[in-house]
Amino acid sequence: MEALASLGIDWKLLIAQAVNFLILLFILKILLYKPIIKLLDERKTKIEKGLADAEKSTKNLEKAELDAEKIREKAYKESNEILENAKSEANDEAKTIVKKAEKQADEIRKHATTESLVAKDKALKEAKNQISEVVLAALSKTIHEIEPEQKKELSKKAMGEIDL
Amino acid sequence: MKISAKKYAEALLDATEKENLSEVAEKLWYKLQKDNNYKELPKILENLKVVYAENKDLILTKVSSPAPLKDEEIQNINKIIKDTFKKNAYIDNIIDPTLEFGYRIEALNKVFDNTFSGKMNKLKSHLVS
Repeated sequence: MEALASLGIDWKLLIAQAVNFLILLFILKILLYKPIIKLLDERKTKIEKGLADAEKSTKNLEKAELDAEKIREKAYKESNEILENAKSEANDEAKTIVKKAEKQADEIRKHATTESLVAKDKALKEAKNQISEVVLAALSKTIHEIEPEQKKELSKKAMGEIDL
Repeated sequence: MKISAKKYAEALLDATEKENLSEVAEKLWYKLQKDNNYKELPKILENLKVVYAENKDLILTKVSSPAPLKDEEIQNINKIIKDTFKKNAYIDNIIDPTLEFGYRIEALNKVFDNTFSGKMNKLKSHLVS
């Protein structure tokens, strides 16, 4: 104590100040330190949550991008398939149309050929009829002009030709 | 029941062998009128030829010619029929001046035609075909 006094330190004051300090420390701890810690904890939790959300969002974004890519690929594939199908159908349709047109052309050609043959036959038949009529008319005229005696002679000759 | 032309012909032939012709003709006409069948007369007469030929074992021979057949022609045709069918002919002469000359002979299932008309028909067929 004397030593402290020799150094100019009042030990009583020192104790009082120490007590005051402890009281202040206690008060500060209760009133300031705890709320600040709580606030800091809350802030930390919020930040962590924000970081977690951000990470989650990033993951979601990546997933969404992957999904979008998949959807794009699927859509591309489907559109390609549709296109291919459409091309195939169009080709089939074109083939059918060409086939039908060829068939019609064939029918028209056949019809024309038949008509031409029919016309030719008809003309030939008419010509033959006319020729035969002329020939028969000439022969009839000749036979009408011959004498009855000559007809009898012809009948006599015809009798010799009878062959049953 | 309607009596067929052939039955009439058979009855007629039978009657002509027993009764005189004018009586038979009178009875036939009466029967046809009674049965309202007189339109059948041409058919009956046609059948009479067939039945007559069958009864007498003759070959019914229809000979179409431009003029009536003379005895010599009938004999010639009869000879041809006999040579062909080994039976005598019963000649039914059909006169058709449009035939001009020649003969058309039908006997059983055979037909021979060398008339002018027949030749013309053959020529026409040949020219047209």
